Amino acid sequence: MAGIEVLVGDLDRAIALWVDVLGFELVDSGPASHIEGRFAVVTDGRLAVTLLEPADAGPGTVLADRTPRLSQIVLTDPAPDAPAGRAVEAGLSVVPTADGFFLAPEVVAGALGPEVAVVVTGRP
Amino acid sequence: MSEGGVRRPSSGRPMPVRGSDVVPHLPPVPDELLADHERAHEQLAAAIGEAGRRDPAAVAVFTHLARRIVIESLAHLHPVLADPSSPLLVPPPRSNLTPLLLRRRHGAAEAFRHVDVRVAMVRHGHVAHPLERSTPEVLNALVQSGPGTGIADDVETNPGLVRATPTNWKPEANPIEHPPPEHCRPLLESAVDLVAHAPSPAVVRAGWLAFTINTIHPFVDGNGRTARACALAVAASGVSTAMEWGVLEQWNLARDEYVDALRAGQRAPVYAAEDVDALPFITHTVRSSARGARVSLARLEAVSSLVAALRRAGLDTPSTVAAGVVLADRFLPLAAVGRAVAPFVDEGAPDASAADGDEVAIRLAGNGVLAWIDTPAGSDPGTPRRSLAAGPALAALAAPYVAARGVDGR
Repeated sequence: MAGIEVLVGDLDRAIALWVDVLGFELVDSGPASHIEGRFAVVTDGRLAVTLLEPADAGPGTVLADRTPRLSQIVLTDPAPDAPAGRAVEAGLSVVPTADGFFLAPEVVAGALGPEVAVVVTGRP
Repeated sequence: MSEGGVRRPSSGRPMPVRGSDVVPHLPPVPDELLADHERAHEQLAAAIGEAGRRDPAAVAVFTHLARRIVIESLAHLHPVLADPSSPLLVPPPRSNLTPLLLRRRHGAAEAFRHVDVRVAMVRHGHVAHPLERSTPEVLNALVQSGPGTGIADDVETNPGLVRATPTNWKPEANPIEHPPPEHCRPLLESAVDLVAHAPSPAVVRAGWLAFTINTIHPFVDGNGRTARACALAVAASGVSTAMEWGVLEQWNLARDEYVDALRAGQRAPVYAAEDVDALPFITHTVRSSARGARVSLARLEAVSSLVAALRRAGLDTPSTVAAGVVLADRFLPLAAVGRAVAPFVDEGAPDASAADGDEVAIRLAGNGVLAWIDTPAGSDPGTPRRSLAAGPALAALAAPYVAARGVDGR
């Protein structure tokens, strides 16, 4: 399943849009794990949308740029080494992860314009 | 011996002071760390010397590659493969750069030239120190130089001028409030003076200076790049190679460690000399420089193998250097990932307009190192294109060593 991550200014309003209006199902929600804030995951079975509302204070990591935006495009690939190799070959910047890699927002901005990370994961 | 943390009045002995108008303390560093650093750089210097005696072309190609990597790191471009434990020996040049990042790379190249010249002048005895009091401002102006980006909000940020206003400090983004603007110039000058005269090893002074400039934040923009350029000049003055080829790449590869080491010494709400601690960043710098020297050594060995193979093909020295540069910049990375197809230059490109590297590449196609291939027409389907790609001969040439990664060295 492909996915996107969106930073939002108001998580409740975002959930209302995706669930009540667009018909997605809320499958997970709670405190964010890596930064201060809350998150929710909604899906229609084909697309998973992670909604992340970063907090402006807290004991953990506070995200410096909390501007609402599309922050990640998430692709699944059972063999992420292949696109990773092509990305290296093309002179992009590849950051390895536990189950794949991602292209940093500044790299994607050079091709697409907007700064959004592209995450490729081997997990289904 | 430690330094810093004192203000030297014009008329008397050093007088301990506290506050935001004094530079941080320059602490001692464990001897074993320095010994490892010295050993790594001595090995690299010896290997470069030996490689140069064997074939000067190898050193020329290595220098070209290392220079590109240092400039990209100085510009703080994300590395092609952000894996500090196993860096690519022959990374391709970074692509997909936004106009802003292209300007950063341009500015970094200009700053590197200045650093390179200053270090050479020190070696030849024309100047006493790698930095003068004005050098940070010069480097700040250079790192911000370059063509306009065409971006609407691309505003000027006073390149080369010490800031006259407080920084836009955000506690969630930076743990320490920077000193007031009226202290920036004296602090910067004190830092340069201390670096010039302190008896600590150059790599220690380089790390201290980078920490201090980052903590003082004396410019509106480009503080990190200026700090790295200044540190490079100081570090290079302490090694016997022409340039310090390791530390900037390692800082760039391990960005989290770089930031963590900075912040470990900035655990104070407001800048004051006695409340900040440069040691974590200095330690990180010494380790990074040693690790970088070992990666550079592996890189030199890979490039020497390539050059030896080109020599066996009968190329003279200028052609070997040119071919090595072209291969290192454009083709070896392809061989490294097992692909032999990449658009390069059009077959019909007029020689008069081709860059030197293009001309050499076209010649290499004549002996099978490169090969002409059909490439997708792209946006103009009516115009089939022929481009150069890595050929079978290159794949065979590169296979034994190009896929190799650098040493971990931690």
